Amino acid sequence: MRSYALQRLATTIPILIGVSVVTFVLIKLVPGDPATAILGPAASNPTALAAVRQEMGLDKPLVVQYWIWLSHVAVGDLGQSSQFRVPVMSVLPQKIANTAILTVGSLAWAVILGLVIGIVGAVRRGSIADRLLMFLALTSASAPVFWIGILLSYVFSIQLHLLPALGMTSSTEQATPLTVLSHLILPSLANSMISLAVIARVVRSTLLDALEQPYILAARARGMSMRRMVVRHAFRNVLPDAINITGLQVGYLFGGALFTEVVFSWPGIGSLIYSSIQARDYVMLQGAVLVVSAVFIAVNFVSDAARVALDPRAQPA
Amino acid sequence: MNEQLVSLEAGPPPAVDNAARDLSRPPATALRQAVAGFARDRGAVLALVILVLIALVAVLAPLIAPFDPNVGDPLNTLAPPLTAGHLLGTDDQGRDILSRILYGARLAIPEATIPVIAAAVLGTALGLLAGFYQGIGGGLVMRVLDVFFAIPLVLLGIAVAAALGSGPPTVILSMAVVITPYIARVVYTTTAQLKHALFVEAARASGSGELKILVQEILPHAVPTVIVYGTINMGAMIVFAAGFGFLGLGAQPPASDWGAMIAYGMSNLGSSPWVSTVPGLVIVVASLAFNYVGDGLRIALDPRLRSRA
Repeated sequence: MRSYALQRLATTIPILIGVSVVTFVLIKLVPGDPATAILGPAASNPTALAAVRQEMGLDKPLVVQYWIWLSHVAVGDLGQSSQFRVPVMSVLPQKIANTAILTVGSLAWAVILGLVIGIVGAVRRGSIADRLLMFLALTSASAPVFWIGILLSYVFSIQLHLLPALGMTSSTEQATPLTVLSHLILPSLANSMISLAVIARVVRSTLLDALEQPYILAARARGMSMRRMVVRHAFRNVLPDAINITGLQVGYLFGGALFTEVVFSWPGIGSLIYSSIQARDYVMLQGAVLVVSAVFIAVNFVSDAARVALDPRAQPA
Repeated sequence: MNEQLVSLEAGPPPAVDNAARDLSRPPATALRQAVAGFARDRGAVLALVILVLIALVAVLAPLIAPFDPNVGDPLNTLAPPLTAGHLLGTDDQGRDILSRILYGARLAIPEATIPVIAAAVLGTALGLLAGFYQGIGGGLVMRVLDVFFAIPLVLLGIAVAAALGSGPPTVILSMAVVITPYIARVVYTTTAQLKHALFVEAARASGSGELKILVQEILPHAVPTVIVYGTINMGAMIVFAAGFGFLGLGAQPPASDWGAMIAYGMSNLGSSPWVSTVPGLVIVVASLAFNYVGDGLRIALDPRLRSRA
């Protein structure tokens, strides 16, 4: 287990470096000269332009620019956000924390509903409930997340006045965990749809597989109830796959929160990316992509390790 | 279902099938079998009909749209669906939503299909080469692709589009960039598995060159997988393209982009929910249709699955 973790960690480092290259190149894709953009009309003055280019290091070869950028990133300096006029790192942590709250909420919906739908589907295979639930899961997973969010906020917020649909806290009351929770319900449900369908599908098919195994037949021959069989025997074999796929979802939910946050004005990294796109704040965008990818890589690492710990057969060669 | 069980259930090997075949009828080609298999799946056929209709709508939009999609009727703003003359209602500028949706297909269909086709060609080439010549070159290609898997797909696509500037060409380019690695990996796996298969060895022994082996022996095994994977991905790309539109990275106003229409309608959600929600329904139908066609193709193109159906 430990050697596997170390091995896996070693392969993560080149990927992290690769991700840093991609995010660095990303900002170079932006058409136009950043120095010209900063100077505005003054860019017609060639000496001023050359001075700014030199100050920003734009006169150096790309590889050198990358190295300078990376050495700043390594110490947590992701540059200056043009829209907020503060260092990127002074904004990111709070936004990441808010998106993490949304991700945890979405994960709760996805795991609970995904397990229920998957188990019902496997145990009552082919029934109306099975087919209806799987169809609903597939349909909602095929819909744009932001559209689901709009439907939810129309029904539960605008029509029924049950839940708030904007922001993370209410501006009129003191922020308590309870107000955050009430603001969390709708966005996290909207955000969970794709993961919910994925988890339901995996649980349903692995549970169906497990229910066909001889030990289940033996258990049934001993007169064990379906519930006990599923809970005590079959489900243990569903866990490694279910946990691994759930782990993968954490990363997708974190990255996919972009649209949900825009619909619900959730003050997380998605809203930040959206405002950075609007404001053409590419340094902030770059920092956000880099940090989200790092989180994604870390979570995948943990979920792979969890699978190996739970299922010794998955020990890679 | 266990992989081994599937092959057991697939029945007798093809040789026996051939012997038992009615010799008076022409032999069923692989293509004909696949078509017959697809035709048996009623859900997939219905989905295909829907897709053909959407494609026709895209082509014929100027002829069949009841109104100009970009010109509003100031006296008839926010009309609800089923208003006389406006089947799906109007938005706050009085523009006919049905006409805008019909015109929207002209953006959505290319935005869903072109990136997947481009990525299928590029990804297949990369996957074939990397899988066949595993060595340093192939390994390097796959390590580079690993980097792309490490960045959430949606985020990478959005970031590339944001950097390049908005508009349908950027949307198409960014989507092609982010799905190429996924297709390359699928082809890579198939190629690496088949590289030492008996029929490849046989072709090699009979003097086929490497290029000929790649194109004639291995490529045909990868193509069905790429077609199925690509079709299902087109469904995801319809949704993804709508996402670009929603964020303002797609076609710019007043162009009728389905995703942008959803975003535009949000400001009147309380009083006129149809402006925002109706375009979403169209996206769901189109995306589901691609999914069902892809699923039907998967069963039709895989003889083992087909015989179970």
